[in-house]
Amino acid sequence: MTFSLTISPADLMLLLPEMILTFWICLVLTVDFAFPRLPKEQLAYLSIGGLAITLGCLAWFDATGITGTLFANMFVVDRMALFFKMLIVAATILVIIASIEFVQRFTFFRGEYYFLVVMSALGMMFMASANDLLSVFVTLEFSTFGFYILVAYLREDAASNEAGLKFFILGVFAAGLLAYGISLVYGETGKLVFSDMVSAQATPGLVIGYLLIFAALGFKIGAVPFHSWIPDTYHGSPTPVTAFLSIAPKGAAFAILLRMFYVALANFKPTWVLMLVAASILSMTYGNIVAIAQKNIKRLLAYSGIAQIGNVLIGLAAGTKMGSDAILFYLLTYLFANLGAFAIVIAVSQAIGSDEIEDYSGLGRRSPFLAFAMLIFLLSLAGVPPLAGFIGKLYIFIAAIKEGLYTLIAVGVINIVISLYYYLIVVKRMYIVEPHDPSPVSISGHMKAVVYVGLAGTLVIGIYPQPVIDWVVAASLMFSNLAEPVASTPLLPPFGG
Amino acid sequence: MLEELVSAFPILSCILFLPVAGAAVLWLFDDEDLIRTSALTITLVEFALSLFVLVRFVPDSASMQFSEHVRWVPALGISYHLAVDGISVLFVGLTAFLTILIVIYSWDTVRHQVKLYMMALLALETTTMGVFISVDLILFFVFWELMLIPSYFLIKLWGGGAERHYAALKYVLYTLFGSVFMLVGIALLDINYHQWATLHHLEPAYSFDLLELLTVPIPLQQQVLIFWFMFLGFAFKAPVFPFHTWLPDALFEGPIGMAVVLSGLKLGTFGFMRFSIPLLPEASKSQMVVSVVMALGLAAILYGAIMALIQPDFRRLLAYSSISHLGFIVIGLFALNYQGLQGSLLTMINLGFSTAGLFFIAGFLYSRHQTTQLASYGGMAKQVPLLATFFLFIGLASIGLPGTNGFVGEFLILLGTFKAHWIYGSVAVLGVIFGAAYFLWYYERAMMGPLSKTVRTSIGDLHFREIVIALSLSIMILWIGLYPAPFLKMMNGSIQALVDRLDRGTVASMSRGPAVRVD
Amino acid sequence: MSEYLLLYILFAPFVGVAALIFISNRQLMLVRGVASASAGLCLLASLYLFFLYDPAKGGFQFVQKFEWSKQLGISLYLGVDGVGTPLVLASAILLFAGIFVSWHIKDRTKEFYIWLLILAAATIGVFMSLDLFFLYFFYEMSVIPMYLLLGMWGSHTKKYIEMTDPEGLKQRDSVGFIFNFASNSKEYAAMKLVLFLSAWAVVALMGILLIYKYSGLNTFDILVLREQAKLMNIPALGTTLDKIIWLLIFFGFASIAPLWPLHSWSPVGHAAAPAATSMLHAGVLMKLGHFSIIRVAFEILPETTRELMPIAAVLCIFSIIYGGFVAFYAKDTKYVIGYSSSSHMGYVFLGMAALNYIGLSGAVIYMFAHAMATGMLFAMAGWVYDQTHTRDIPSLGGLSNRMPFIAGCFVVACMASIGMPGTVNFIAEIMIIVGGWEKYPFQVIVAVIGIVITLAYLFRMMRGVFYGTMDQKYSHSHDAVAVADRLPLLVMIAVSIGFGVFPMHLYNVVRSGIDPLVARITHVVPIAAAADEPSRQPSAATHQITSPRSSSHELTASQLHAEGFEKTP
Repeated sequence: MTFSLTISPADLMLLLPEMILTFWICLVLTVDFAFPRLPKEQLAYLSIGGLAITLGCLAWFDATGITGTLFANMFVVDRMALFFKMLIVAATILVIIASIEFVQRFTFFRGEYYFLVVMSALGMMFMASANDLLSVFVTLEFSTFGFYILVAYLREDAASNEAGLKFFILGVFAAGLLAYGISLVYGETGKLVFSDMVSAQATPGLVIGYLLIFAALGFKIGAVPFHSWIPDTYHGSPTPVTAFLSIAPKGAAFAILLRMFYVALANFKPTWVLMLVAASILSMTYGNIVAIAQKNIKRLLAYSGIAQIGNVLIGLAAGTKMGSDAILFYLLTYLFANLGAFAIVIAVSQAIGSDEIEDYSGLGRRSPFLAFAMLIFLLSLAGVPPLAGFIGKLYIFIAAIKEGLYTLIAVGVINIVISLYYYLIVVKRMYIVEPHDPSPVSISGHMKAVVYVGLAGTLVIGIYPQPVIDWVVAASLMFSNLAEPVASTPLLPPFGG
Repeated sequence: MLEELVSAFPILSCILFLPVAGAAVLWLFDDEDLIRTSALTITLVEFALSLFVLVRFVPDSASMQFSEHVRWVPALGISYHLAVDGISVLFVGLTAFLTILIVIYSWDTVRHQVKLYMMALLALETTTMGVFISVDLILFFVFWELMLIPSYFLIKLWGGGAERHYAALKYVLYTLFGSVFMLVGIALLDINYHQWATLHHLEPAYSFDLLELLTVPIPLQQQVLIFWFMFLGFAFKAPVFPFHTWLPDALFEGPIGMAVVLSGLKLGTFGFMRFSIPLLPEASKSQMVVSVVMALGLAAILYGAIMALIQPDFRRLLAYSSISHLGFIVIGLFALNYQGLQGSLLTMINLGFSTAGLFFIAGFLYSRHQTTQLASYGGMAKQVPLLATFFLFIGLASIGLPGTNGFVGEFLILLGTFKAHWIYGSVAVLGVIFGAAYFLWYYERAMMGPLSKTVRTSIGDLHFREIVIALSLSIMILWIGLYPAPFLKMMNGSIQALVDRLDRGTVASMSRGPAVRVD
Repeated sequence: MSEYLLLYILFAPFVGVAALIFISNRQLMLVRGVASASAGLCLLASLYLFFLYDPAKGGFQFVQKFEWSKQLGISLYLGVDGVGTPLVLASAILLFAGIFVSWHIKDRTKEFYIWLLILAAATIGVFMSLDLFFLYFFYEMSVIPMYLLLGMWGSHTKKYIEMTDPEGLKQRDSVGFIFNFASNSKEYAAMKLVLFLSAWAVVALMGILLIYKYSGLNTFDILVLREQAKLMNIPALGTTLDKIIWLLIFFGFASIAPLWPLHSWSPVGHAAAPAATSMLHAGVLMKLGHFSIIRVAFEILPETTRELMPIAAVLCIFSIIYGGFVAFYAKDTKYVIGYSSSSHMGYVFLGMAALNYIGLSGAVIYMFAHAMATGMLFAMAGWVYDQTHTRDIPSLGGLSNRMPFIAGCFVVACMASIGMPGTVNFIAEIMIIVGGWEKYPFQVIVAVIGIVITLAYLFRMMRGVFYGTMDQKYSHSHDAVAVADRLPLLVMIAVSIGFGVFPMHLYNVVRSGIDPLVARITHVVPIAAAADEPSRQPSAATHQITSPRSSSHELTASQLHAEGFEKTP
């Protein structure tokens, strides 16, 4: 196959956000080297500015509906890609704001920190646009390199190094799986672009290939049974990095998963539904049950993240347009709630220097604002009305019940209750248990900003989600060809399969 | 013109709500004497009103008179319907009369929380009146239940005994236990009426009004079921023999005033006569019911008499004697013939004078000795001749000496029971003998003979208020004893209607329709 | 103005919350003022609503509908019928009373009022939502505040074994014993309450989702679903789908009612909770269960309701007797009241199971009546606890000398609670007895015996707390003299007796809501016959008299049509 490498300016237009960001990364790096005296938070503001411009550009694309494909469908810009890019960029901005104080604690390489963060953000933006297996591999690795360093950033901290090593080894392993899977699929079909593989026949090689690819992406999103790196990595790595890691790569990976399952494998739905159902049930149940035993807030959030991914997989298993809407919606609510929660973890660990749930005792007295915000975020993660998480979960359940996935939903709703239990344990610590030392907990302006954004998102989406719903529905219009069940017709017996 | 004015005047409502309104007024006062006087005034006015009713009551008529009818909850058929007929009118007078005497008696015997006591007493009078004059079953039940509250506190707060809390709770629990079943019975009557009404498209669809319920036939098994439900309610209140255990405690532990009300006003048996028998004639006539109730009545007579014989304490003796008397009333009722019913009704009135009178006597003794134990008496006739005299007289009335009211009642009852079945009569006669025995024996030991050491020498004879009480009671006793005609005339009409009802039964009566209603 | 009435009622507390957030705890009077003002506004509006509701017109009135999400078929659809109206009023009254009952809370007053207002507002929201989604939305929303209210302002209960009869109850109270692991901490109570309720709530959610799917209408609108949803005769799991949905809905919501054996969270929660919370909890939160069952199961699955409602009739026996006996043996004031309310909820289930309009409206009126009665009792138990810092009945006593007003009110509350004539409870009881007898005479007998048990334990408690000899260490305790302290009790007493003497409007309102429901339930051919030939449409052969016993129902129902009671909003 031959690539027509004639790229018109109009095509390059599609790359505008990425190009802006690339330019900005170089700018940040140069400034960092050129002015060693420059206080590093200036770099943070600089990169935030760049990301903001990128975000604006993406929003402009989304508003004016500029879409298209590049490089013979390797690189696609559609509403969904734009949605995920905006998600990633927004997450990056929030993470950088949240890191400003944290970075002060580093002894060296403060400047490079921002560079790496934005770097991997760029990689994930490409992931969101990746439309064939090759670009999947390239962009996925591209985005991961940054993280390899970021996770191990605290060089003196043994936990951080362990986390880095684990993440690196397993990441490389995943990359190997991915490469092998891609080669198998290409060998069977001779095609790389997702949309070309729709008509492929299900040969054993193809199936194994796709299983391997799913496994590799499963590592990214941390779904059971590919979750083993998550707890230690989350625990060891610098908290802002953990926050970043808990949102952005998962979003990007889901962009790829959606394209893969909904486009390339649309015809094999009956086969992969069961696989996804199994993965989802395992992730939810394992994540929630293990989270109960956690003593460290970061580990708790790590396991709860695994469970949340299980919830998203419900939507993926639905395999309908509505399912993709629900996934997009859920990821957005998850962004606000989870980033907010991590922001509070960062703030608290800066104030009292600990991530143990024990030390959250009496936070309700020491800093009512932090405790209240944490309460909101945790409840949103648990899925309690009137918060965004509730709508997200319900959206996913509705999408799934229309497909008749009763068992999955039963497990899902039971898991809501289990998760409520360990979230409430934290709430109990904060509100009911009296503090060891009642000194008030101070919080910096940056943290306040992040928390406010999280609160606003969680509450507004929870109380009036319609605009967001419209947005995600528009964003995943490409899947509207997927068969919606005709509801009013006489229905097949429930609980059958 | 005056006639219309009088006939339009809602006198029964006034009688009903005057005491409670008075109680509300008492609440404002603080000076104890003022409270006593005003309480007395209220009761006197009440008595005057009830006298008015008694005087203007048309005797020898079965009609419901002075009727007041307001739909209260139309949708449920609950109405505010007051009226008196020959069965209830005498109780109105009796209640007012006894309340006066209680107020007079409590003048100096109740010393603490006088205001609360008087308020409770007046509230009790209202509820009692309500029970007697309400024709709507729900309204009746309302007062029947509300009566528990003042009674509970009268026994609990002003009782003399150590166990008064227990006694009060026991009284309330037993009575409530009975009355909830009665409530079910009432509900069943309502359901039955409702089904009949819906089938015949009568209005209203629901009704608890006695006069409307009377127009509806009730299947026999249904009747029997309802009868037993209502029987429980009335039997616990009366109390009929096996349900009587609360009575001695309540009478012994409670204050004299409460004892007078409990023993003097036979609400339970009134209930039988008012509701059970007219509403459920077939059931009341049915063999099983009659035999069971008769057996209970006779058992009560003998049991009460024998228990009374061995009581060392006068108030307990009176308690058991009134159980025995209730046995008489019950067998009189369920002789189900004219004499029996008439006799029972009259006896209910009589006991209002004689048994209540004996309780007053017990009160007199108690206020002198702080006890009514036999052991502390003996030969007191020398010391307190007046008291002894009234004691003897009222006592003889209660055992039915000819010439006293007791005789008329008991005689009629025995007549009725013999007419019903000679066995019943002959057993009942035994009761009379026992009655004479326990009273006279006690009286002999307490009053006659040499003055015992335990009697304090300093006790005085009856003073003015007590003489008033004793005298007024004795006058009534003699009046009914010597010239019962006016009283019998008053009840005749209703008794006759009751007997007719018993003969015809419900099914025929519905063709007659609510003829008894002459408003 | 009146068409937005429901919005005022629903959002008055939320406005209060929003205002409270910006007030500091140091301005105590301002905090109280704002809270009571919003609650008072809510109360006034709901009183206006109650008396403006037109029973002759009936149906759902003051309807408000706002598109909320068209993709999911959700709209904020508010409206009250004869069932919702009195309950909205009850919640408003209890909220208002609760604000004043908790007048003396010093610790984090602002937060307390915030959560209390949210709790009440969520409850009110359930009572007025005509959209399944929002019904569940508010239902879940009302659970979490309970956790914080119990946890932050609650009080530790004594050990379960200690506060109950040591030798007797361990055997008798087997279920309670299994569920309460002799726990003594308010944290345990709060956690148990929230997890228990959420666990059963998601069961109900499952049922709701099934309705949503199998109606195939892509809407949560109850009124649309009840008219158009065809859920009958779909075979599933060896039975039919409607039965499964009904059971999910019924038990999901019956857990909060609480129906035996799902009750064990409730007394623990009552005991741990502060007074105002217990009032709202026992007063209205429990009624969410009955209300939601009526609103969802009765409206959408009438035939199934008629077929399966006997389950409730059976279980309510255990509720009544079991709750009554445990209350009799409990030695903790709030336990007594808590178990008494879970026992009284059995009456409501009995009235609902009767499925004729007298029993069903009796059940609804009983909910209203019980809200007042138990509200009073909890308010006074809370007062006694604030004064003496103990709820242990044996150690209390003789308080009537110290607090005559409270003692007097307590008598009234007891009377109301046992359904003494003159209180609205009596009307409800007589209606439940009349309605229940036709189908369930045995249950009726049990119920009336339950009344006697109620009197027994309430008077026992009254004796133990207010009479007898007083321990000198309580001599500092004082009566409720301030207006703010007396107001709540007086309000509730006034309501209870006022509606007891003039029940007509309340009755008409409730009837106007119940009649169409009963008509729907009694006017369909028995499902037993339908199950045989699945092809049959439920619409066929209506007005068929199923049995001589139910003939009176048929007649009354048709009369109601003649009277124009039929509702088509």
